Amino acid sequence: MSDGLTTEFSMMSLALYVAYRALRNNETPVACIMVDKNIQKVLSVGYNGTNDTLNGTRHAEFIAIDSIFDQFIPKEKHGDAEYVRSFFSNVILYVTVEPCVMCASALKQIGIKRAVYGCGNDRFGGNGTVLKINDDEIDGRRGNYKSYGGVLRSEAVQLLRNFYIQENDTAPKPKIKSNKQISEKKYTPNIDFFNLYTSDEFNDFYTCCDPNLFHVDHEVFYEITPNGDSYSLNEYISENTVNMLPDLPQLFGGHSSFDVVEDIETFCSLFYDIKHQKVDFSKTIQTVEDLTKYEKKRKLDQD
Amino acid sequence: MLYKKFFESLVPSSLRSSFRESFRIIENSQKMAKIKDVDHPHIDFEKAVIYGKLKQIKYSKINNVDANIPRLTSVWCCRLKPQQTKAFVKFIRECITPYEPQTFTHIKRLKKIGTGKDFRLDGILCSSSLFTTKDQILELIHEYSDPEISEMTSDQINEVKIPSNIPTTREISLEWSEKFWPMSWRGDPNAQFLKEVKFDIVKEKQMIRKLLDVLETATEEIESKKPTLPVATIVVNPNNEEIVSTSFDCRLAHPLHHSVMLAIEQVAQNEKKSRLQKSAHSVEFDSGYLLNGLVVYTTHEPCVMCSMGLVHSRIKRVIYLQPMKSGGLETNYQLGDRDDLNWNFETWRWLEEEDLKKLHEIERKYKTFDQEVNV
Repeated sequence: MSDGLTTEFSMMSLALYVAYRALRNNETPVACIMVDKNIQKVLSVGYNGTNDTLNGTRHAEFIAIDSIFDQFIPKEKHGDAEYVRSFFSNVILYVTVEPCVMCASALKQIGIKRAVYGCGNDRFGGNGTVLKINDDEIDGRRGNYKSYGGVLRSEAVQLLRNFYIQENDTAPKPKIKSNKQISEKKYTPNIDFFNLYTSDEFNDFYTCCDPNLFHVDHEVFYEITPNGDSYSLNEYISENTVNMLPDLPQLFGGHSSFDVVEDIETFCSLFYDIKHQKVDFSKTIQTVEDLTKYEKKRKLDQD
Repeated sequence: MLYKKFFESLVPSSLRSSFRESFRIIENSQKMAKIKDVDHPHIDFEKAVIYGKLKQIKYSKINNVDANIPRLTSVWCCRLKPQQTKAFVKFIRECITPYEPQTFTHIKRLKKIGTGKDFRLDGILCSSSLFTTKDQILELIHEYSDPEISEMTSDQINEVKIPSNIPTTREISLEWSEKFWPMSWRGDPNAQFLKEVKFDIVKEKQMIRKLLDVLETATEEIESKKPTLPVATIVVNPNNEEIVSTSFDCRLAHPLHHSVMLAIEQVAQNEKKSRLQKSAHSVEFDSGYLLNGLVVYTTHEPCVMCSMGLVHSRIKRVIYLQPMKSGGLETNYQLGDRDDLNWNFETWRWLEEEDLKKLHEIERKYKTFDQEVNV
């Protein structure tokens, strides 16, 4: 890859943007896109729908898979396992959080080409954090797929933090009210690259990153960067790329009028920049709570 | 009963005399334990089989985990004066227990620190997985209505490590009590579980029959209406024995529409409907959360995807008949019984020959069905 991880970062920033739209629609900000690897076209998007459906299995991956079945696989081929596998052998999943054990198994069963994810999922990650479903011995290794984490992972974590300061009243969990220090809190360690990949595998995908930075016992947590050692999210997302997303109006709650340019600007304002492969806390970022307050105020002013 | 259990886990034996009420409760529960300790001819403790029909599936048994090596877990604990314990117990019951992912019935909730008149107590607030930072737990504490709790300060709170498992002998339990934290020892914990688990074996048999009957009927349908594979799942509310969903394998329509995934979807849709109706009549919600508390009966050991779907759905128990090569409950991973996942449920395999025979007869109507498939 001559452009380093530029393509991967562009795709992941779209998944992150979908997750951000989910958050604005009061859903859990975990999202994914599925991309045809040959023509670099976004085939489908999905975000977590467990709150809305009351179904704990409606994870982003399932929504995106179902959308592909609806749009691209003829009805009479839905039951044709070989047809389905050959279709998904050209599809790459970009998901903001590591697929869980359930999704990892589902992705294997449909024969996904590859998964790229943001942050690890230490509660039920199925691509290496808790179990390694994507690379195990079950079913004679049939459907096993490669999986690469750490792409825009601090951004994925930051988005989740925005969610946990909102109240989620459908799940039985303690009410943790807004944490004022949310934007200054340190990030959790990066994924355990050393145990997940051989050095060849690492170099193959994370072309321009130094594997030695990612020892888990380091005090400082380094981030994967696309090319060079610094970036801002706004370099990887634009009106043009966002317009590649199918069902864009749906991400805006079905509204017909929305300003993508302004929304991308807001989206980018939620994240820190990365400098020298570390999160640079010097920038002032917004939280979704700030945005809601701002919108309420603007609405009041207009009324 | 729950309350008694809760109290018992809270109070170390050395302190019982100072809690008159709890003393009485603990005495009673100890008497009850003795009554239960008579013979249990229906349990094979060695094989973990009940009534010769239900085999318990345990991660530790399949993976030969040594129960006598402590597996330590982090918890938050706080230093209390004796007069604060009542408020502490209330705080735990109201604000922690409903959300706590870990159970602490195997340890004493309180530990005595020092002797004489000025003794203190260390009480376990919650697991570190519930609140990952001290600030979070402090925020909850400071919001509590009772000043005995809300005035607690940061220096009273500490993170400590306690064993998350229970050893098999009293000696080792005492050793761990000295070394880590006071443990409650009521005999080998799984033996205790097998004694206490409630099965009306006649009704279980009826339910398995029902499961096989609905599958048989469905497979006799015309080709277009038949299940794709001869696999069925029913979900039961154990409180009123009502069947809340019946589903079959349907992968002809979608390769991931296995019967368990469809069962989860059906229950969710029913719940959604009933919530809409209830809100139309403006009645307070008293609805279920996912499949919490429900029991799943399924003909074949679910695949990894479906097994993890059951974990996400927070079921109470699953019973299946036929183990499968790519299954996720017994053959691989034991997903219902793992310490590293945030939800566990009871996993049982139904052993009765005649029912398995009947299942295999139904399977034979399907030429393509084999043991390797993900169901």
